Amino acid sequence: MKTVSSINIPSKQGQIFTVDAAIAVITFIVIIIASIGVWEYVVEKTYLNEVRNDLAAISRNAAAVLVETPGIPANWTSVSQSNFNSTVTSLGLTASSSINGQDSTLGSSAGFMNSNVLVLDSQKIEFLENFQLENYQRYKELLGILGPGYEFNLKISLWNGSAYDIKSQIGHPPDISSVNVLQSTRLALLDGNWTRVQLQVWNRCEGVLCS
Amino acid sequence: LFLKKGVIFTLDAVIALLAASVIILSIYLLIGNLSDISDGRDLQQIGQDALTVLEKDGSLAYAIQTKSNVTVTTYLDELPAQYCARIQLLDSNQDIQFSAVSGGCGNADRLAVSRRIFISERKTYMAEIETWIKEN
Repeated sequence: MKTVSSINIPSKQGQIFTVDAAIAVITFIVIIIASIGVWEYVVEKTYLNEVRNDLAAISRNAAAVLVETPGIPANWTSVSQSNFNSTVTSLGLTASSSINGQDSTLGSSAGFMNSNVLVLDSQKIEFLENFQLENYQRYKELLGILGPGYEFNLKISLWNGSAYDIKSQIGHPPDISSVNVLQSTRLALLDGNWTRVQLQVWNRCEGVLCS
Repeated sequence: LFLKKGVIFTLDAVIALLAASVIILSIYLLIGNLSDISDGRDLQQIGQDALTVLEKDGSLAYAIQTKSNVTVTTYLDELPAQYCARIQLLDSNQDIQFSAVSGGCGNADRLAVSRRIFISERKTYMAEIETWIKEN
């Protein structure tokens, strides 16, 4: 009786076909190179997308604060310029509300207390515009525009009966160094007129974005 | 039995290349199609703002009283260029009392709807606005 181990098997152990090996190595290299390319693409695309989402969220939230709240304190236009940084803790452009007959001078940024949502105060807009050179950085802080190279441009336009005219412009418009520009548009009333508030938040070319 | 220990099969490499291509293509398509999720929210916001402004400046009440849609239509026509809107005013029986739509707008691909209650001549009305992105 023959056992399996005694069968004569033609063995080719350890052989490598050169053509197969070459094709496999080339394929492997192609996959590696493609993977590196995809990885760099994904990292760059994700980063740019994160920046855009960040700018969009900041733009939306800052515009909401401006047109839905009076700021803190609510009468912040009466604060002297020297005390502006230490006293004003929130910027809002809506007219100050009267609550149960009392002027809400201590601020009523909570929505329940503010009946003047979207009704803007022209004095507050003028203050922002007149002191923008001195206070621009503080405006950015108060509006939460704090990312690297982030800037803003606030445009307030009034309806003249046939079109919207720009009444005020505060901040820096996007220039050639801008990479992303995100804009939030809100509709409001100013002195009884239809008003359009456009807040552009944008970022300058910095670091990896410039490469 | 015929053993081929240690041989590299070309077929394996080709399958690996195909699999890698599919994965890479999928990643490109997924990343490339990342869209701005804020579109829907912005549509809703513009609609709410428009209703608030038109209610606070008295245009909605005026439209109910005069049955004239000139003011409201003008306002809708002057929305930011990419937006279209349609407003309906309904009474407490849900009957349409008034309707206005911005000009130059086709059908809506994706709608956002906002509503606001207001009072005119001691009657309660509901304003409903549909907003959508204008097709190019």
